[in-house]
Amino acid sequence: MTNTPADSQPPGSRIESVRVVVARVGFIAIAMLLAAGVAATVAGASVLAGHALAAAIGLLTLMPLTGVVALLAEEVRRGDWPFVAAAAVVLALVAWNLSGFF
Amino acid sequence: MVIAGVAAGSLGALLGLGGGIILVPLLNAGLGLPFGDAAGLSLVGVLATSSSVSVASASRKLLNPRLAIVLLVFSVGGATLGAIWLDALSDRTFELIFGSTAAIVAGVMVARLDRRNVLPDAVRPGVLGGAFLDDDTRFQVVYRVRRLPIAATASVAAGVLASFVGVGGGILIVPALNTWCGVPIRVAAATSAYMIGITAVPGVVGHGLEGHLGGVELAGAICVGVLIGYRLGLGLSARVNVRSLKLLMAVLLAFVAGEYLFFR
Repeated sequence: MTNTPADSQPPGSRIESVRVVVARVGFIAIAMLLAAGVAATVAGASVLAGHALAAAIGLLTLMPLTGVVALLAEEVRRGDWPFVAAAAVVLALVAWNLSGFF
Repeated sequence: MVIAGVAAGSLGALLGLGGGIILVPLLNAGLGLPFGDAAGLSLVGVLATSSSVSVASASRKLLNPRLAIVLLVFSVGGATLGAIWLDALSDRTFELIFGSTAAIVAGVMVARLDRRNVLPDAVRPGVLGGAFLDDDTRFQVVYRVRRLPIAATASVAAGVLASFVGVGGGILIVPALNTWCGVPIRVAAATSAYMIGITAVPGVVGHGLEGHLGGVELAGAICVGVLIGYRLGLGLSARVNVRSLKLLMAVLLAFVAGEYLFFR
């Protein structure tokens, strides 16, 4: 592994900035879908509520994986292959689990 | 359901835990849901807490992404095994395992209440270590990760526990990183919060396949509560110092251990 000082690990690389933006946009989308689901439930539109809440929970499940994908891209850019392998193993395990669900 | 989510979200903001140790007892004992349903719904709440904590801690550079990705190999592996073996043990066995773990971790946290794991600025943090600005002291804190096999073992156990009993595993990862591996508690909490969002996925899938998630309305209500609770906890977290944070965590774990070992 490359011996990089860790205070420069998460630093403002472009990929890390993109990851933070994606996480924030995703979080706002989740909050809006949940709010829409609650509003639809209160209004008695149960089908719409179900779709909105299911979408929020689906997004909630997938959002953390964007961080792993961003880290994978960052480590590929750096050529730090042990971390690339670790990120790839994590994504493969999660994908294998999700494949059982669909 | 929303109130249970608020409690879990506040806990996530304060301690970097997923809040499962609050949600499972509230849903199971408080609202009368079967243990499997409580565990599955709790993991959905854990996902919401993890997203909230990860977004908030990103700007403070508390998250250590490289340490997280290494430990995720072990925690997601453990969670996958747990999801496969979900129907292998009885509910009472799950409760005893969880209660015992919580009691041990609470004892360790109290015993090491004043340890800070802070190294001089000149020390290089190594491949997995890091540095951040401590809110309490306003000084740069440099840390080096030690005893990685202990963190890896705790991560495997956290993953199995996540799938089995619906907690994110932060109750194992945070104390292990802070107590034995030299990681400051705020970094351990942020890194754990990020990890548990991914570690929870195999458990959510496993419980979904077992039919434990119920209608999306229940899960949605928990998520709404978690997001509200997280904002409340975040406001409080700025006024809580590290020692109080550890003490609060130990008291909480002792309470949960007693509940699961003796009052069920």
